[in-house]
Amino acid sequence: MMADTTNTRRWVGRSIPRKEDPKLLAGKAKFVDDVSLPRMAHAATLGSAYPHARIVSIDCAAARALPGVIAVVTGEDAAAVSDPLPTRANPPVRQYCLAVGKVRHVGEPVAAVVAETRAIAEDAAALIDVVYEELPVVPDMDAALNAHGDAVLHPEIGDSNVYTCVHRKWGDVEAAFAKASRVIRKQFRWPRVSAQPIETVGAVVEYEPATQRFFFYSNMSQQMIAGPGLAKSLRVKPSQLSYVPMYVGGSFGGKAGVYHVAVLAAVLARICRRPVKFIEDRVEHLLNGNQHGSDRRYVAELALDAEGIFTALRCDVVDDYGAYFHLSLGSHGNALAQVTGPYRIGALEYEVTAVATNKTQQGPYRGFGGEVANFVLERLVDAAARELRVDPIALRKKNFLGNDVFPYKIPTGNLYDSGNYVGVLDEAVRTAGLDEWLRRKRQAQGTSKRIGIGVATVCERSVMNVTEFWFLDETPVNRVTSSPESVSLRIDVDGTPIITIYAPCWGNSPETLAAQLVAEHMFADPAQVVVNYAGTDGGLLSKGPAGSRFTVMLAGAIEGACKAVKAKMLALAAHRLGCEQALLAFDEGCIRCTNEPERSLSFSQIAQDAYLYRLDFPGDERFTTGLAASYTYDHPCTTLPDPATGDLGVFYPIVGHACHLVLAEVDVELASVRILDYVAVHDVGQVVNPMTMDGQIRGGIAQGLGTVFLEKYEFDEHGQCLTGTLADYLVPTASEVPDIRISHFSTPSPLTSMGIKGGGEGGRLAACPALVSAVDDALSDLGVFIDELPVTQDRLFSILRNAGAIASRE
Amino acid sequence: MQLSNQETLPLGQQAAWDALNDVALLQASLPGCESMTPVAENAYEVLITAAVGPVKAKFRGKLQLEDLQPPNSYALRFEGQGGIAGHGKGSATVRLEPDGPDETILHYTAQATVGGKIAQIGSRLIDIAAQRMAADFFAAFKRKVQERQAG
Repeated sequence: MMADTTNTRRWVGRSIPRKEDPKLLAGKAKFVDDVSLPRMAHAATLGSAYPHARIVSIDCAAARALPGVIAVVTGEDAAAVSDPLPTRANPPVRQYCLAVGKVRHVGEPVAAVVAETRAIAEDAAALIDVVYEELPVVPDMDAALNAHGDAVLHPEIGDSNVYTCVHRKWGDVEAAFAKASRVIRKQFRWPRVSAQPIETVGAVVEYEPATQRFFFYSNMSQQMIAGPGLAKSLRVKPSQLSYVPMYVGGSFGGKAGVYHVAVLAAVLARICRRPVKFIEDRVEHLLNGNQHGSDRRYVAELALDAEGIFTALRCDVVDDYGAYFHLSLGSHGNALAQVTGPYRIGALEYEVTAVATNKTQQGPYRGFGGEVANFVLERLVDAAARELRVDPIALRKKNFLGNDVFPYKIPTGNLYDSGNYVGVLDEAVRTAGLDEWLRRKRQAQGTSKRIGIGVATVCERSVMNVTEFWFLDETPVNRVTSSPESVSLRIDVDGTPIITIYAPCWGNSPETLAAQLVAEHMFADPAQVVVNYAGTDGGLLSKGPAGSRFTVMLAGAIEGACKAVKAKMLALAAHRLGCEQALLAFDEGCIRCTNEPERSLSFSQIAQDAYLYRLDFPGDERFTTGLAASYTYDHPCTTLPDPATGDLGVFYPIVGHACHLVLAEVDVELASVRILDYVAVHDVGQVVNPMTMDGQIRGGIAQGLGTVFLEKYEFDEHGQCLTGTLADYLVPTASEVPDIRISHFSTPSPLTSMGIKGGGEGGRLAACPALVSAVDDALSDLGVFIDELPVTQDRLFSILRNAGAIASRE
Repeated sequence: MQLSNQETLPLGQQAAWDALNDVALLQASLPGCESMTPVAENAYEVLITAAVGPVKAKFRGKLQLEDLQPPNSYALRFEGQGGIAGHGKGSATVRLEPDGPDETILHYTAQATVGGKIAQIGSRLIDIAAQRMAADFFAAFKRKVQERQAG
């Protein structure tokens, strides 16, 4: 039952070429490093070589004496003129743009140099002499759980490296486990990985002493929301910041969150009274970027009754947050949006212990914790299928929520708006040609090149609400609940629609999507729609891309603005044509009388009336000069948590779904994995542009592949990060990413404009469990069960040797 | 970093021991060593330029000899600071075994840990760099010993 609504729409649902591409492909899009201002100086930082140490002294004399150096600024200098970075941390954990008093991870900047060139700044940074007094290092979560005294990173929040510990229960978990006929209990280790955008984080900031205003050119996002926090750090009013959006060379989450780069550049610009450019180099980005994702250990249990129905889930999680805690438990709130997956699991127990270690602070990364929860649940389901000796696909189908249950409230309180999980799975099985896959698997049995079939069926919560950042806190510090998105629409005097959006281009094709949506509503051609970006001086609220929200929120805002503009156009046309408004209808490029189709007014005629001929129209407000409207769209369906019942409220209710099927070959002699075929079926409701959606899915799968097979930030037992280059931290390249066959299935959301759901994270949310499931399946006769990522070739070699498939040389 | 190897020196055991305690000879043999200054009994301050992969820096370090058992064995402890390049510290043991009157086998083991930029961008290369440095040292050391003998 494929809901096909595209045939009634002219533009939404079509793979039109991207509006961004001509600029990007010709190298004309302006990124932060393209910004060059008169008298602009360049900054570099000196990162700590020690993971945990007191800063005894910093001697900057030699650095200051180097010709071309304008200023050398230490953490204390910066703290004298600025306050800590904006944070959601609860308990409050202070973090400055440069370390003050103590360093807490390798690479944490202790000083910054401003010079005529970046090269001089780097040379000068090398001349700064810092004397450290080493403190006991907390290199991992186990050390963190037992640390006291000098090993405590933030003594002001207590004599412990546990930031916070939360234990919640929903439904009768004890009864479900007591009655269970089988309990699957596993431990999992999810590695610290991150996105690796080609463009690191950067900012150019100019300070204007006359007006005391800062002008930011930066690739950091959410500036409309973050502005007040930045202003507070800089000890100015939000109106003293002007944030100009730039094209962004990839974010995947890491360019929102902690704003150390922007704040540092602003601090330096104000000290030097010159525009300052600070762009992280790759090492700075890897060691101090806002991008290390979840670093978790799980003990997870799934209870099953005698019929093989899942009845309860327990997760005990330790999460290594690193040196700071600026996102609080947000990524666990996120995981709880879909923690029970597409399954009818009535009871849940969840405990999370967030610990501090001498590693880089965590930041958001595509999935934001939800991808870990999906991985754990899908692994448990695979393990259950193996123990019960049943087909993993059949077991999933048996436990799926039926199509008739929506809207469905999961135990945590979040709502699933709609879904058709069997439909998606059947489509995937059909697309894959599963019978042929099974034949190939049988054929390979007993050979050195085994074949496995991996399956994952996961939910993709979309359109975040910010309550996830604080609803787990017993005493929330900032109970923010707004996550708006705004647009302004103007029909120009020649009839051209001009849409202004308030979030930057993160590579998520906002111009293309905005043009298609405006064209749909305004009976225009997307090629004619002009898309502008506005900065904070434009004034309207925008949360921008985060939590797979942007397309849905943009669509809601555009619908609102279009409605207002269309109402005015109808009023103008009715008066000009002398025709009753009810008899008028929009047509391609014009408004027409439905009873006399030859009578019409083109959009440019209507626009001219609106702009130029005020006196031809009545004096009332309906006909005020101009043809424009702004609209701020709030989240269509969220509720407050209820501390009395523990219900988290509705916070991520627009829930898509994906099924990935993977055919993988594992060479047990070479300990290598080859992906032979990959099928991804996604249900993101109404797709606005299938081509750009496919790009999101493919990119997400590529990142999932990196997480599963290659990536991990390695820290040694002394807290030294050993992966400070892309030769040590491996990411998938084009040759590792297989061809991916994508198919769309549409269950429109009843809550959103046109039934659109968010789809920015699903590729990664589904790929990790699917890929691992395929490797497991290929090695099922050896009893291999993968519970830790990444499965590097080294690790696979040990797994195979332990399983007896590769002879030990010893 | 872990290193364990042996070298045959063209010297009798006592001569080998003496050569290994000859600061001028050691300084001349150690690649990149600019100075080796005695600061206390069996303790030296060392200034050395070393490279690990793309990181090249001047390290200022301390070297302390311990457990001296002439002419059989000793241990040494070292640590160094290379500014922005990072830091390192470690220890080594050296044991001399006579192999006839004119040759001595030198057994050594060394371990070191590094921090900062050398660890971040050089961890893959550190073992190779250490092996190469050891090989260069012994090659130069033997050459200089032979030159001295010839002279």
